[in-house]
Amino acid sequence: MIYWNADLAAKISCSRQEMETLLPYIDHLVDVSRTLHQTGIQPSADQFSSEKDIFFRYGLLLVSEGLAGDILEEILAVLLYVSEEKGIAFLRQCVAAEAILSIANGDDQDTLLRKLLPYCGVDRALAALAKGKTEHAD
Amino acid sequence: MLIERLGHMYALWGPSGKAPERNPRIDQTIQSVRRFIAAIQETSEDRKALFTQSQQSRRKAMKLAYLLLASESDAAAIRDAFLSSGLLSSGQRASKLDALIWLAGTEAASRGIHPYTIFLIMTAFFGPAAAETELRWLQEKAKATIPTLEEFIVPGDLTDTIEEALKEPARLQRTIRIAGMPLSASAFAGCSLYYIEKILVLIGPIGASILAEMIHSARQRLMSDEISTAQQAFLDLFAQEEGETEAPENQRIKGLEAFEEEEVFADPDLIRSTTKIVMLAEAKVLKATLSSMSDNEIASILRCMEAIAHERLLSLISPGRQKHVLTVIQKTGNTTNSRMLRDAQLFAQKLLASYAPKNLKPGESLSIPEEVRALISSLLSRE
Repeated sequence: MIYWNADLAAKISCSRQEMETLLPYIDHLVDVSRTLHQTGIQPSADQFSSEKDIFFRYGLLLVSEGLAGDILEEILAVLLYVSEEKGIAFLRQCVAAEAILSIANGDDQDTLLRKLLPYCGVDRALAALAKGKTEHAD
Repeated sequence: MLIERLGHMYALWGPSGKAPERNPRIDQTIQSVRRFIAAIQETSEDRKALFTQSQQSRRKAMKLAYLLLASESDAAAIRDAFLSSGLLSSGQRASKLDALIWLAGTEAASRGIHPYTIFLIMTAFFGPAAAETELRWLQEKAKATIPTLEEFIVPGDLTDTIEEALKEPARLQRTIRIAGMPLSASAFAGCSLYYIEKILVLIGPIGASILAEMIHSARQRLMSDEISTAQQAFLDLFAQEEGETEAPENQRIKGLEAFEEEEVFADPDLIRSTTKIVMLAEAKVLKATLSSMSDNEIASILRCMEAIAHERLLSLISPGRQKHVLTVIQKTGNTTNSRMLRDAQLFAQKLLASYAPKNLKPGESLSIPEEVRALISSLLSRE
């Protein structure tokens, strides 16, 4: 069960318009995930140096060290707990953390989207998933 | 679930307060964390050494951490001790985060987590920028401390297929992460040094160092059978991580169909002889023979026998290897009678070698069933 807390709720709260801006970011996360799924991680190269999002970059470095599952979730939860970000910036970090866990777990693109889209709000997630389903059916 | 865990942390500890910026006090804490993991590595289960560390520590949270580890407290007792110490109370906001760092580290150590991973958990409290700097430091330290392993091979399904698996590094990386370090290490414990070195470069230096340490430990703790079981479990996960969308069973059917269609070109007498050999030979000898053959060789020999023998041979190899063999068959074109004869004779030779005990004395005959012996002789004398 989720222990909702007023401080966490205030930290994560943002407007519907702000949530809309998550979609391009989710696209970026899905692109990175797809590339890593196909090519793998080259631990010897500085593969993630071009990733400007420091939270996401650090998460990918942890994945490259073979971390996944409970331990990775524990570290990401600590990073979110101490995060100074608020509102949409904090929500982006939550989405990034979810994507990192999903990449470590080897989830396919469809599963990743199902995990990330709900962060845009239920209506937006349903619309995006339905659109994806229609495109798939075509 | 991530949000559930985060919500639980907020419910337990309240908001974290302002994240620490890099300052002399934080640098001092980071140095203490570095010493903490070094102490855990060096003292291991030496309680007296941990007590000494506790006595030498000046800060309360650190002192408590060493003391709790020395007294072999479990995770729940550690949480209770930190709570009742007052270090986590809201009145002491400045030191709250510091206390949480030591609580997390001590708790992780009590769970038997590797010191390098404990370090990553503890440094996460400094935020991603500082944590990344510390990860780079740990990477350099880990590079210098990867343990040297000795050659040790346990025949098993993974030992046979690791070369093929290494051709798909992305899939192998995913499998290692999903299997986790302990299972991966137990499975790789039976692989040759040559392959272990190739596996270790698939992971960053911290992960590689942890994995190498665990392989070393697994080789000391586990019996051959246990390593074989771990290999099978790892291979099952590897098979599940199939990148292609086609269902494994479809692949299996397609593969079988591919070579069953080609049987029309084969010499019926050769097919009959090879089939009989496979059906009559003992399972353990066949298994040993298959272990000494590559996927390509197994795919080739499957073309030289009837379907009933396919089932027997395929049942003696792992599901992951079955899939590889069937993929090879699908990709291979028609064969010729002379090629089939060569493949069948190579198989017969390998089967003979498997029947021969290592300590066979000159003049001593092999204990092969009479009918199998006659069939092998007949097959090897064919031109």
